[in-house]
Amino acid sequence: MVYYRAHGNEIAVFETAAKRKLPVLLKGPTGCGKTRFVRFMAERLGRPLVTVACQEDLAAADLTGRFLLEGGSTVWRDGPLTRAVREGAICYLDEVVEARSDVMTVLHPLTDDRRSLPLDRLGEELQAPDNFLVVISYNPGYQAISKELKESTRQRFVSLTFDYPSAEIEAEIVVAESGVSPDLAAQLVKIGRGSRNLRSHGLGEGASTRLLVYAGQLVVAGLSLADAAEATLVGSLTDDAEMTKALRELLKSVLG
Amino acid sequence: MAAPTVRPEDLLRQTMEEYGVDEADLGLKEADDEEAELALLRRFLFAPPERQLTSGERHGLPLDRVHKRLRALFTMLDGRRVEIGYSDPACTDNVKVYLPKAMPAPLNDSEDLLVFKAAGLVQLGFSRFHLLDDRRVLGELYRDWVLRSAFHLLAMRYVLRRWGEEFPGLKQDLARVPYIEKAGTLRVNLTEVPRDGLPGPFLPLYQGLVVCLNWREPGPEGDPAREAVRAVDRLGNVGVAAVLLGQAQLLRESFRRHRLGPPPLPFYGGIIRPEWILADLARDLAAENEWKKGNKPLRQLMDAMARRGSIGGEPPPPDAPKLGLRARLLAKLSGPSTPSNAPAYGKLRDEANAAARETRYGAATWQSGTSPESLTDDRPAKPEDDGGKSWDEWDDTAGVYRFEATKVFTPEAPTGPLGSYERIVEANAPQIKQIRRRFAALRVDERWVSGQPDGSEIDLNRAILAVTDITAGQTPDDRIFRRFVRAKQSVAILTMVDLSGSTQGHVIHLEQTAMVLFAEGLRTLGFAHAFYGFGNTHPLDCQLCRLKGFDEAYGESVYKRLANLRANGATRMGAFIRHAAWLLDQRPESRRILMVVSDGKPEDRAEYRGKHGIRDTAMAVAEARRLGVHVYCVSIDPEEGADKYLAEIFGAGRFLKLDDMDSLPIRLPEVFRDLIT
Repeated sequence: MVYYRAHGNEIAVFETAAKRKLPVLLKGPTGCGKTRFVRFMAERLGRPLVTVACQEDLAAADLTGRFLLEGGSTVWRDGPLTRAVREGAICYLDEVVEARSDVMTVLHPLTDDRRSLPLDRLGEELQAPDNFLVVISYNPGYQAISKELKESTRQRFVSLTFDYPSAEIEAEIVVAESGVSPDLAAQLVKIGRGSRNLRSHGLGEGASTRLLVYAGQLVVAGLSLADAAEATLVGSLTDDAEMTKALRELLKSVLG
Repeated sequence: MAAPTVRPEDLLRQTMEEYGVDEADLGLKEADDEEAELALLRRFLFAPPERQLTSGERHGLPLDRVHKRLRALFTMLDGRRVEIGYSDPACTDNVKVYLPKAMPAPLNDSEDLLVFKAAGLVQLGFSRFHLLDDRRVLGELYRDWVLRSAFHLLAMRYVLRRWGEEFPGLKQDLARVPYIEKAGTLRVNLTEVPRDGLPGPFLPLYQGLVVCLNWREPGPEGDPAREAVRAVDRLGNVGVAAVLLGQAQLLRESFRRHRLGPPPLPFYGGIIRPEWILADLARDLAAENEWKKGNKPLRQLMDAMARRGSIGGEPPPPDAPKLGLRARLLAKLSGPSTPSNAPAYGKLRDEANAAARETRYGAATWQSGTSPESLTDDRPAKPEDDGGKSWDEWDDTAGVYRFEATKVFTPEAPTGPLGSYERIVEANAPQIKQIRRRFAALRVDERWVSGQPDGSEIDLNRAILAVTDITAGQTPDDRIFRRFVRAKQSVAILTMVDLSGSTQGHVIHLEQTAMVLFAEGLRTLGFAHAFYGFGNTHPLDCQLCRLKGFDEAYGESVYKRLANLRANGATRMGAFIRHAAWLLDQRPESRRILMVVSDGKPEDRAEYRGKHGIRDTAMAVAEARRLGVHVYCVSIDPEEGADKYLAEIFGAGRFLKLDDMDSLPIRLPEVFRDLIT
């Protein structure tokens, strides 16, 4: 079973939404556990999971499918969304705002009471089974105007807002995921939380839980704590020389 | 005897002399009277506390070199956003930490940085561990210098211990600090005292500081200072300030018995200034904002006084309410030589206020519920170039729009000397070069375009579809190529800068530098862009002054407007956003951006303060977004908690609050670049 430590009512909300066949939107900063949560819920609900990492070249056709040439003839290949609909899976579109705008258009009939997917090339319309669920995620911290989720899209989803967990829970996660001692995990979490105080005040984002886990994993694998912390909690957060020095001071203050 | 007639300029000069300020000191050699007036008032009324180093020309590490790093470190350690200002000795007003502008000579980078860090942590600790929260304790400290110094030394010990407990890594650093010579220099205020020959009753306090992080108990058994130090070491985190005060009182009595004055403080300990915290800053700031919204208010006051043939005034009666800084300066300005026929102090203030009110809003009183029409006759004169456009205003309490409650005019902004623009460009040449370089990459939208009849590559998807169609006996689409295009981005941006009264002085200088730098970047890009400034003197006289229109070419007139901003009025922001969004809505570009630059929350007269102003502006932003206009705000509001109202108005991630307002000219173009990439 995928490890996931709940820190609110997110499991109950997701389960209820899934039961009512309502699409889910996950919002939250990078590395706070959104993807892990979806994997966990898919396992918990016993449904297959189809994950699509969205990027700016992802178009609707990439999701629905296309004809390919095979020998002298053509053959239709389902895209991940079509596959998820046919299988009654959870289709998870990670960082959906990165995709082209026609992706949202193709999602619309799947996210309202129609729950259907028109495949124009095939001239058919798939009806989604009860188990099918659309889950999308995005990070509202991104500020580019081309990467905002439209109001009309947002209102089609049940929203779950994620943030970094409390210090105790986060330390538990770091211990469970990396195998470091609770004391060391607490120190890593303290550094992570310190760096998050600089969110939007020098750092775009503070250290994610994922980075803390990486730091722990490097230590468990034999790297010195100082090197592991430098590689994950300094270098990955900023290129700014003064911010780098400030982060190093923070490491020194916490780790000694 | 007739009262002397004094010209405002004379009064200004006289005041500068009285305070020992000369024009060169203020950098006002070429400033006009208005700038001189503002600089003078800023210095005495509203400037952050600042003390220059007195230790000669040779300095150690300047704070500016490590300012960013220290601020980041303190913020990470404390969890609150920490601001750093200048003061020697170091101190805090419980909001900001103030540190010396530079360490004393000689320069030693690593040691100097450590002393800065320790001095900052001491002051930050006073605030973090709630030692300066209790106004009664502060009141006691304010009255007694010996008590304050004793309290300070004990409080330092407590704070250093707590930092060491929370961050074990800090312990080693802080333990080194007292051994650094410049850090351990003992001073009474700014006067150094020799370390040798310190009276015995003081010694445990310093020994305590030196060894406190090693937890060794200082001094002989039964010594009051030793007992105080032990009591501090046993302290938890409840009622700390009161216990420290009690111990300090015991020490004061002990010092008195030994006929001793205040114990000197080590350089890195800084100073506690209860008066900075006790001052009713909120009231003074409110008065300041109110005052700033007027039109050259001091000048009006001076004119009013000069017209009366008097600059006199009487001292306030004993039962008069406590006066704010502004009132105290006015009292100071009115001078000791009160003619017998001069108006009473309070009356003079009232008259000045009435004069200011009249100028700002006309004689009519705008009351909640008054229909705008009833005010028509009293409205200020309208600008010549347009008839204005009325906008409804959202009344959140009633849940309805107030019909045409505001009117926005878009006159041309006033101009000033052309040299201002040239000076800004010259002074910021490297920054402009950098902005242009970075903007160059935005000029085109580089991407592959599919479905072309001709192109550099075959679009495999389309080619397959074509083959499929052929196989199926249908006519294929021949647009099977893709091409790499460098299309010009279709962007229109309107930048709207706050010119309300509160921007007078430093802020407006920053704003005009920011406008010039941004303009220099944008003009090389070729995007449609416009600059406007906003401020209103009446709900029906909202002035969105055109600094540069969309269709206006750069030229002398635009330069003169952009680099000579004038502050006036208040911030009825909802109306301005509605109008600006409407202007953008006329544009054919596909991406339309409204960038708002502001220094504070939306505020106008009584009914547009607090929630009302915020909710109306939030509604205006929502309306703009419905038009497809992206609204983004860059705020330099120094107020603690400004993020909260900014998020309410613009939404999370759709504003940037600059901690360092001086970075506005550089950050504004960066924000724009981030927005469109």
